[in-house]
Amino acid sequence: MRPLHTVAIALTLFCCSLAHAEQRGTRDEAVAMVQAVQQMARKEGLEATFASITRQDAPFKKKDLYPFVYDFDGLSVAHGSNPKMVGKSWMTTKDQDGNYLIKRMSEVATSSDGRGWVSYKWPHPITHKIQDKAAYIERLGDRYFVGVGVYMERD
Amino acid sequence: MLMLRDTSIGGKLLAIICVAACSSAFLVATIDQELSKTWAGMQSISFESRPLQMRAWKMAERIDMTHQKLFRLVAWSSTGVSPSNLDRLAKSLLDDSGAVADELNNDANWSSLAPQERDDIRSIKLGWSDYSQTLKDIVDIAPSDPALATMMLGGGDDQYQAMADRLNALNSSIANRTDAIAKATGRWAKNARLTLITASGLLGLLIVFLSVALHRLVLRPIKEVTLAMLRISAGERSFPLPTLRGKDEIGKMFDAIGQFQGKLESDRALMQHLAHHDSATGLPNRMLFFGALKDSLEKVDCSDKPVSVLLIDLDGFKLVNDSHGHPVGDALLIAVAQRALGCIGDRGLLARLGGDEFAIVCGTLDCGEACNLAAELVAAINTPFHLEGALVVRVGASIGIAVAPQDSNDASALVKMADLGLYKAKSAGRNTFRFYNEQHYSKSERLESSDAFSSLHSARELAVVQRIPDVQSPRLAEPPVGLVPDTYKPKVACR
Repeated sequence: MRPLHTVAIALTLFCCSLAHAEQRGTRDEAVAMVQAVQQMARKEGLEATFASITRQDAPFKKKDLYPFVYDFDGLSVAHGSNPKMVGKSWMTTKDQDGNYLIKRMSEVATSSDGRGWVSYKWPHPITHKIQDKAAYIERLGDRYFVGVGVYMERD
Repeated sequence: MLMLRDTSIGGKLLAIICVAACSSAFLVATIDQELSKTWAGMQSISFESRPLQMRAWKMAERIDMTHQKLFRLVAWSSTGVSPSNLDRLAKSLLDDSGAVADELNNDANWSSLAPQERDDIRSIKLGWSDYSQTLKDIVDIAPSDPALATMMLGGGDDQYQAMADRLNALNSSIANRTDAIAKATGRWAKNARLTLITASGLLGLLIVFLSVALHRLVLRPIKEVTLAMLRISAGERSFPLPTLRGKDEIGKMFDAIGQFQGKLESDRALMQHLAHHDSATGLPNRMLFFGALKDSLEKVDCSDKPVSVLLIDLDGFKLVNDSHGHPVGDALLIAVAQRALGCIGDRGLLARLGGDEFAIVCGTLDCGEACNLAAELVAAINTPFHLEGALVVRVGASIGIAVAPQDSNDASALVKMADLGLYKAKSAGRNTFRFYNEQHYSKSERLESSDAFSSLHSARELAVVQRIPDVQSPRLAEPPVGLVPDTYKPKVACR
């Protein structure tokens, strides 16, 4: 009885983690989602795009990926995971490592390239646990940038 | 106080100083106590008048408490506290935040700040506006995403730290300022106390100095002069008055007392003179004569020279006095005295016993010399006197002589015996001299010694009887020439 139980529990846990892994988005998918946001912005305008993102419409909700848009001053204008973040300034927010992540994203977006990857720690939208994350950032319009981050595998 | 009436001035002064010292000590103690109270009061006032410091301190406390509450909120949200509790905490946090903002933005609270402190409060205001925004955001986020709220708390904590640093700077700056005032107050009180102690000490020294000065300048001289005057009154007439160098009031008083003493002394000398001298002729009077006679008689035993008493009675003076008046009589007496003095020189003391009666006491003459003196006197007085107003008077002199210790050692007895000698001279026809005891003068051949000792009583009666014609007969004022015995020619001419 006992060994059987143990095997069953282990099997269940494995399946769960496998399912979780399947939920994790990749870097390419993140870049693709940023492109999708850019495309929609060009087609339907910024405001509509922001609203769509915050509404968590289908194109902006793949696995654990979601887009977020801030202006260069760190004010959130659209967020694909937590609508409460919209309208707040995040310039002074830092992760556990003392990393002012939004500030750094803004710096990347206002650089000559206007795009790039930024690594930081951020709560996972589903588990609400803080995890390592890398986000692809791209300038959006004159004073915004859009980003989609991928959560890193935990060791 | 009645007890003090007879105490010396020094004692009174001491009592006054004691009372003054006690009361001033009491006064100083009271002032010191009041000063301490004032100091304490000022300190408490300076403490109570630190509303600015209190306000800044309370502000720091409130901000600190708000921040702690924010931490608690985030902690609660991640540990799954019931939404209603979380909601209540969030609401109170927002209230606190609003209150802090109101307090900070009320400019009346921060009106008395120094320039640097104004910068601080401005910076704190800005910091608070950022922090309170973060706080609101966290309150909004925390229930749905505690992890994100925790992350946001990091930024809020930075803002809080920056504010807390500026608040600390503000607080210490204000505290330094108020402490400086309190220290200045303390210093002032200390100085005031020191000044008080110094002043009271100086006052005490001044009192002591004044007392010493009063003692030296006034009390001691007065004591000395009092002592001197007591000694003088007790008979030490030559006791010297203390001398003062200065000419202050006491010095002048000493001078006045000195002058008073001099006047007393001269008056005393004058009275002495008047008491012992005859006012008309200035010759020693009966009193002085007897004194001198007694002095001489005391020494007679030690000396080889006898003491002789010559009693002189003017013949015919009463007639002059009656016929020409007292002024002429007095003038005649003076002239007689001067001439007699000239005759006597330093051989004896001439005195006027009263009326026209003179007496001489001689301590240095033997009987022969006394005899010569008597003869000279008789001759001299018998010479006419030239008085004022071209008046020429001639009187005679009868002289009786008694010799000590042969006749007697007693002054009055001696004078009585000389008187008897005088009677003999008068009986012998005036303008001559006789010894009481003729034996003393060996060359005397006029009277037998047995005659002299006949009877004192009868001799006096004879004198009285014989004196009466003296008064009545003017001729007797000019005794017949040749009354002076030939054998008694003066050996020394009268000057």
